[in-house]
Amino acid sequence: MVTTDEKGPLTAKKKSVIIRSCDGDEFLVSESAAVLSTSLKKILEEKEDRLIHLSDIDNKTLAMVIAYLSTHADDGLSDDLKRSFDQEFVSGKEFDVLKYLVLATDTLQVTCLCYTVAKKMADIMKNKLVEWVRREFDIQNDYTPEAEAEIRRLDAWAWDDRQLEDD
Amino acid sequence: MADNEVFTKLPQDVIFHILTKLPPKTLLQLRCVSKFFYLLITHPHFLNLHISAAPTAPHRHHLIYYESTDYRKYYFSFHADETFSLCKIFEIPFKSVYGYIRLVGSIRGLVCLFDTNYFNFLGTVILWNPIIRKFKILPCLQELSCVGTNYSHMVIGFGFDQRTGDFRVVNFLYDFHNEHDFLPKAFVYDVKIGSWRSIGQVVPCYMPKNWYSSVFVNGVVHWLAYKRPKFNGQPNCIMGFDVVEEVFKLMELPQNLEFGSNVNEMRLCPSVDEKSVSLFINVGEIWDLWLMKDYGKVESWARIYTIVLEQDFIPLKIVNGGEILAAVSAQKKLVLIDVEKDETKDLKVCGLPSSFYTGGYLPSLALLDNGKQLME
Repeated sequence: MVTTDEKGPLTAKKKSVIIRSCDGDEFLVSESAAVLSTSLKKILEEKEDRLIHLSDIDNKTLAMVIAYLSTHADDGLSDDLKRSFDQEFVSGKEFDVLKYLVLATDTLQVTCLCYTVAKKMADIMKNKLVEWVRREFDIQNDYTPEAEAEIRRLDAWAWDDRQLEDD
Repeated sequence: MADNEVFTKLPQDVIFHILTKLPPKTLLQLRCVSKFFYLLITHPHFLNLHISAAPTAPHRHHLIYYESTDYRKYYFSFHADETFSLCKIFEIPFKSVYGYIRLVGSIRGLVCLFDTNYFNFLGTVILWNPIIRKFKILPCLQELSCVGTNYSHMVIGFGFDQRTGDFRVVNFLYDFHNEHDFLPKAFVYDVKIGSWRSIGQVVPCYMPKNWYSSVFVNGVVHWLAYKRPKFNGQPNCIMGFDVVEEVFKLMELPQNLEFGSNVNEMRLCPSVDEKSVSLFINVGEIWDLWLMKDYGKVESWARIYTIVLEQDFIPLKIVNGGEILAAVSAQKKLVLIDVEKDETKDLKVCGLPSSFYTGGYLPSLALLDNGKQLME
């Protein structure tokens, strides 16, 4: 069976590691799941310690990432099942939750999940107003009203027909 | 607020990553969010990635190019994939300097036009992104000053280099009368760099002087061509130019085809999945559609349809897994022929039958960073 998951030399050993969130919760994770995160893999290669403390990921987010890693480390699941798990994983999640998730996947370097979450965030952002994006991304508008009006004027989209929008 | 804490920390590369997955229109609007968003979205690196990452097939839309029946106007119409319902008609916003505007190709939201005289002696290439109204007129080749004396014929092709994320225009200069003195020359224009360069290779084939659109699939621009020494009549091979490796390749036409006076016309078009090429061959009253099932393998050519209509027609392209887009000559209109059901659907587009050309279309932000804005 072809699998796209990254498998390191550590996969063979049936060991576990403990991962602690910034708010102190601890999770027991199989090493084969942990090494799907490039960052965790590096930490495990460098030190013997089986306890990893993540100072910037909260317990809710960490629990979600670990559920993802464990599913993807499960050799008993087909790629199709993993793909539908991914879809299910992000569906219905609030934008706020996805923000924490994307940040965690970036920190932990879980490329596949980062891609899935970023895609879901982009899907939600489609057709949202500029003001919504500023609020959700906590971005200050640093344009003068005149400069902003000029950019809006430059937005020379040729027609409003939504049929030509690509999703 | 907790969110703010997170988001002051959200790395730029994560925002970049999310934005690459947004459609062009949303991105244009999001330039208003902040100066940082503006810089990010209009950055050549971002645009490159956004254009390269977009899926190419199946296309969301078909683009149809045609001239009005009085030869005076050039139009583009955009049609939804599958249903072919009309989304939009544009009149081309460029005036022809040389006399005729031809469609070279449409790739990743960018349309390549060639403004030329009837014999393709001279011309200017125009790149146009209709959805954001940006365009670029390519500079003339230095060598063009000798066209007309040294060269008789110019062939244009349009491609995309997936590796660098750049569009390429290729240009071959021919002389029919004096091949030994003036070997065909090949030039490539890199849109990002913005200049022509000679590729220093001999063009292996002669090309028909009639105007044919090139077909771009698998990183290779294809034309119907002549294996030397043949230089007129019906083409007898397909010449490809790989825009990534910059090498030529030759492909044979279906081998059990009897060339000669039987064949009236041939037209090359992409396969439905755009992974190979297909060929319409007109013999007598009928058109045969051949498909190269396995790209590059001559033995995989197979005749998949024989199309007969009560009226004369010009087939343009195979779409949706079996329907044929065609122009009916007498009524000067575009139709969709369902060969299996033997049904013809009028697409309500009228134009000069021989002027119809077609391509796939997917909106993109091509030329946003280096194109000129078209004013109303």
